Amino acid sequence: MDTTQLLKGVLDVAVLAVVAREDGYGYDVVRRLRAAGLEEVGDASVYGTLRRLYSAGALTSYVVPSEEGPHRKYYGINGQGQAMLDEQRISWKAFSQIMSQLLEPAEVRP
Amino acid sequence: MSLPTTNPVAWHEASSYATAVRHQLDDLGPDVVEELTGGLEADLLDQAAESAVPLSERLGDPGGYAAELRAAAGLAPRTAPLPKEGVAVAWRRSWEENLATMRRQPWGPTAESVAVQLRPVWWLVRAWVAFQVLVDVMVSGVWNMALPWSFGSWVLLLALVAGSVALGRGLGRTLVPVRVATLVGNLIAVLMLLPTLAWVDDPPAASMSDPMAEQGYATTGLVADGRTVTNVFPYGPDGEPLQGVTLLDQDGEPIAVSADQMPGDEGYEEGRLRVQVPNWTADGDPAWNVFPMGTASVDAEDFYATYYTETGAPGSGLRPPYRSYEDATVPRLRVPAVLLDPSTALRSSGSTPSPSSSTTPTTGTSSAPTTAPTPTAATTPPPVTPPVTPAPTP
Repeated sequence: MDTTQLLKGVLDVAVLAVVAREDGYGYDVVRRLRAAGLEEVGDASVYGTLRRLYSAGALTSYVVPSEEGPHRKYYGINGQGQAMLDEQRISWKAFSQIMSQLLEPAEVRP
Repeated sequence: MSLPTTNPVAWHEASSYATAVRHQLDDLGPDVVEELTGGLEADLLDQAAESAVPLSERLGDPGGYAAELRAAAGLAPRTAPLPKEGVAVAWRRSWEENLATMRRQPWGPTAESVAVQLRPVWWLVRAWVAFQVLVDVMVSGVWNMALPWSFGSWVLLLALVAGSVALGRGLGRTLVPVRVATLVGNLIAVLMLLPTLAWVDDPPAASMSDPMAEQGYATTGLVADGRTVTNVFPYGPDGEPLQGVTLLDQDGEPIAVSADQMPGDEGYEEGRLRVQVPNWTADGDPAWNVFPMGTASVDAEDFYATYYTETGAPGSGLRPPYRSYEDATVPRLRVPAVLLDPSTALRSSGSTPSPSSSTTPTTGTSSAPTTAPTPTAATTPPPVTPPVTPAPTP
């Protein structure tokens, strides 16, 4: 199964979960998602998701200037984002449980 | 984590990719673009530092990247046609593509690392070129090779070197105006480098070091209203032509015609040339600032055979007899030039000058460039001493 299709539905909660652990800038979030096993995740998808979550009021954002190079834009979670994450965590657990049961190999009937 | 900004190639790659992505998003408001791509360079740099594979290969073309960014951010796909790429962006992209092609060659990595290592040399070179341009344009007004000559000029040169190195090490490269100015400056420096290299190959003659000039005989010539002056015909207050007039400028330097006058084609006639004959100093040197100079018709073959001889005299028979005069302020003259061809003079006295004619010496006056004796005392008026009050000419 194409995991990129699956990712689309869960990228929001995945990003929220990563940022909830620690603030991060765009590529840092990409790296942590990949390290967690979501190797297919696209850079631009993550950056776009971060931006959308920020617009939705789930994330805070701040710029860390650098004297030597371009500035970094960090994202952190706020109360609204945390609430969103908690809610989606419950939804995911329920959903994944259903899916897991559904996908259990059918009992062989004699 | 430290930024890998010390690799300028990676930085260029990242910033050009980010620029291309922003180009694809330019139908959105600037605030949205900034929100979407803020910090993108830093992210791309991190990525570039992880692998040697070029960003454009890992991330795909900027159009697809921008579309993904848009979709993930919940924005509608682009419908507006992409505006024509600016020349600078197009040029830069083709540069990046060429660079990527070169990197894939077997010699690419070596050439790149050598080029990167040589960057400091370029920083010094462009500082030097900037120094030349500033000094020549703003100070001397003469397009010439300049070495630092004073404390101030040393300070200027060192400041330019420091600025160039700082720019090269990345100062202000996140600011677009700085980058544009650096690019333009680099282009100008490359263009200006060509004349600078020409100087190294063939240094321009500096008049101060010209041995002829040091002796008082300028070789650079006499110019009036942009025309080259090859001869001067002075007239006295009595309306008569003067002979052996020495011209000096406000600094006491000779006002001399060029000693390098080759006869033109129009002076050539049946194997003979009409050439200019300089006056001669008592020391046996041609005096190119004593007028009028004579002209002589000489055998062309003889002339060319002797033209580059030490004396510069066109033909031995043309040298007038030796006479010297006491004069403290101007070079001492043997005799004035001989006008063998009276038609070249504006006004001829009708005399037949001859090198062996008797001459009448005159004592020099201290008030003005001297008037020297005329070659033929019998048929021309006596030498004119500048009168205190000019007498009206009848």
